[in-house]
Amino acid sequence: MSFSSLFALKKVDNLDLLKALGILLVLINHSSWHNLQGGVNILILISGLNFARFSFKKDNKEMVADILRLLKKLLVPSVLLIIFYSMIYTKFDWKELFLISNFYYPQKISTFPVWYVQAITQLFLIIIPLAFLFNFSRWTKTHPIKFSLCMLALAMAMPLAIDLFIDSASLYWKLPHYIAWNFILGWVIWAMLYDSPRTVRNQLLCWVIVVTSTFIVLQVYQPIPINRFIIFSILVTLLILFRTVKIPNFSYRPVIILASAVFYIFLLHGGVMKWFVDHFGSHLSYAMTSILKFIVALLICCVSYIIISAFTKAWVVVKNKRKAMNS
Amino acid sequence: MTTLFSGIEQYENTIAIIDENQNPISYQKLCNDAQALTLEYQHSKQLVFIRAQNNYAAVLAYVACVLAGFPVLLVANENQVQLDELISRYHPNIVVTTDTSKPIFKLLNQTDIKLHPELSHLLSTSGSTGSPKLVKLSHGNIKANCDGIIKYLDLTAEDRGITSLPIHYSYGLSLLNIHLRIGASIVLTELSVVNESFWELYKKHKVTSFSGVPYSFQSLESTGFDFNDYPSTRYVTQAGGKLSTTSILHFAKQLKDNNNQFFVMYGQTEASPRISYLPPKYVFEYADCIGVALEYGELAIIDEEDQVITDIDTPGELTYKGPNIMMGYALGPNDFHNKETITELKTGDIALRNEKGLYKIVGRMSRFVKPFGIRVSLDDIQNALSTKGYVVAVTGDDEKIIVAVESKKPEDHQTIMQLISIYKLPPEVFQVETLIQLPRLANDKFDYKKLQSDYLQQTNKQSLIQLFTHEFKQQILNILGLNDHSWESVLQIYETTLASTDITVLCTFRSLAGDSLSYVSTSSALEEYLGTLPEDWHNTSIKELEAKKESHVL
Repeated sequence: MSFSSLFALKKVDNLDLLKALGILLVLINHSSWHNLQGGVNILILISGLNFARFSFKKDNKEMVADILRLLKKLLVPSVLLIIFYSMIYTKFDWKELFLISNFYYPQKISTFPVWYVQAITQLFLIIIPLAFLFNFSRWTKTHPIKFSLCMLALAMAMPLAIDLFIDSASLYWKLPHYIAWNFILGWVIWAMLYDSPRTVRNQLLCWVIVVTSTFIVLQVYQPIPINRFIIFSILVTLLILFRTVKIPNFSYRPVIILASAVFYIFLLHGGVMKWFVDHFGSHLSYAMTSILKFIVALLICCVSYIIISAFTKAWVVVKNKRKAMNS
Repeated sequence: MTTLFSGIEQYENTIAIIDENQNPISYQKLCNDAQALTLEYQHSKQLVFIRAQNNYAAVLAYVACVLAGFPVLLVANENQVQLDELISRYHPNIVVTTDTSKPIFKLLNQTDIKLHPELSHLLSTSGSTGSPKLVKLSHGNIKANCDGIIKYLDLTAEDRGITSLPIHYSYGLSLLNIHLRIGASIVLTELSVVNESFWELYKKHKVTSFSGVPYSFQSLESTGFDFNDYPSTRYVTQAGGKLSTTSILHFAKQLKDNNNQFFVMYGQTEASPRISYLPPKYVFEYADCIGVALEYGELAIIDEEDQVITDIDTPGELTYKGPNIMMGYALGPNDFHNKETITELKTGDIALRNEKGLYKIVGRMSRFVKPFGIRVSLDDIQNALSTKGYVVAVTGDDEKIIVAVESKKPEDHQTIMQLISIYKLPPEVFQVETLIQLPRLANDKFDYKKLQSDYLQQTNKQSLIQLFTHEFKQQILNILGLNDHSWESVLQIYETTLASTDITVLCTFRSLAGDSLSYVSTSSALEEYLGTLPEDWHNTSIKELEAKKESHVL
């Protein structure tokens, strides 16, 4: 490949690019640069958007089947990892294993963001009965924008009501009623910009809704530094403005690998970082440890994704070829 | 000499063809056009290769050659490589192009090729070498076969067929032949049977029969297709491989609702090509059978000593006798003048006969294997090496061919590898073993079973590991974007990225429950394969995505 072709521009789906940026921000944040927040918010939003894109407008049963499949993909490795950490630290917490510890205390045994798996599972368990009760299928098919906005309003109201009974702040807001608005923002963007024409009016309206609701949750409900609100708002603005973006050729493949490997990075980076600090932290400066643990975690997680993914895909191809030969 | 189409001029103004532009063409016009085409070449017999498509130009050229008594081979128009190989190997006098409204006869050479007076058709087989060998069929072979088919289908001049298969394929050609021979008509189209326009044509021209291969029926079944929506249908035929019993019953039931018939058929190119059919009255009870021989033919089952097995439900090799068995194979231009007398065709299939006298295929003789889907005769390889003076036994399966040579010289290993390199198969398909003594049975025949148990089982395990290692490397290169042309089809992408095999061409990413965790790898693979990714790719069926790829390539 020539030098000029390396820098030639290549189109990439903005969702892929933001997904890659989002997980990089999470890694950077966990590598000590605690001010760089908002990565997890963009990932939750994209997750909501994709859920709407791939599962809305289906019958309720089909949509719920999609949720159950997705939960299986999330939960099997997560629970195995919880068991793994429980074994190596010789500690056991049934609340963590049964994915409810986020309602009791912020501490955890597992060295990965187990709260997200817990909160998203709990959120889905709320969505499933609601889907049948309020016939989501009908509303997503006939009035997707109205439906998404109503759900957003409901999600925004949930913390106000639930906080009367739960001290969410002491649990660092890692609770389903505090990620619901974030997930449902993805539905709103899907309904207004992906399922409807991407007009300037829709873009503007969508941006106002997203930024206002983000401000309310991240600044009014949660007294946290403004960084998260600003970074998340910038990323969402990019998502609203551009459906695709052009990036240099050389960066295309890393972006795709990062975007594909999000779940692997999410699951594994904490453990790798801890292992690195335990083994090398005492020999290195704080800054060097931070930089290296970021790089090492990124590399090990991506290599794990490549190896595991190639292994499973090769297995499928070989299985199919053998089946074809036998038939 | 009477040919397959001798006498078709008697049908005069009856419609023979509905051409690709939907113009009706009468037998009279077809015959006049055909006779005019070959006038200038009538001084001697010509060997003609036609670049065939399902259009009038190709059919006209074909009919002209048959009427003039010119031996003819139909080659897929789009397969230039195959045509070049065939030309360099067989030196035809004329190659006909059919891209224009009138076929163009291009004289390649005026060499006087010795052609047997009875030679009428040449059909290509999928052989193991780059240049497939040709099956030689006489006028008698092809006429007998057509008449046999016409008889059991009860085909009349009132019938109308449609080119649901390419005419360069023996089954597709047989469709054309039977309709023209009886004075019926046929609609010409290149459209695929999964294209809605195909069925619009079918309905518009009141086509009375549909013929398909297993893939055609599987595709139709996945779309919820129903023959009852096409009331002009009188019968449906299926050949070209085994269709699942469930699918046969599915369509047979649809047809029975209107008292129409479903014919399961079996054949081989060497038999011009039809050998047997399952009488429709048996289809519900014996859908897994290939039925009975054509009227003038005879099926039998033989054991390893070539003795006929008369007991029912006892498996053996299926053999066929009949007037439609070929004149032999042609491997080069000098083979066109001779005629072998083949009284019995060994099909290479293992079959048994049931209490109703119906035959059922239960397997394939081990003397044929299909590595990479290419049919290879183990006897061919064994005979070729034997003529070089080696005592050699060849056995194997669809993944590995074991070439066992009786030799004390280690250098023979290399020589054998060189000799078998003429078979255009990847070298890793072959495993050459040099043995001091080959295992033999009491009757002094090679003990192939022992060779298989000694070498093949071990090889299969190895080849599975090799295949997996190869795929694993390929998948790593795919993920890293270092593999050019890494994907073969949209279906393969979905099967791989979604780890599913229960996928049909009508599925979409959404319908397959694709999700946030799998969409990036799927969409990036699709973009690599298609060139550009449609915005609505996740709602687009595999079939439509493939169509976009094809239109992009064209």
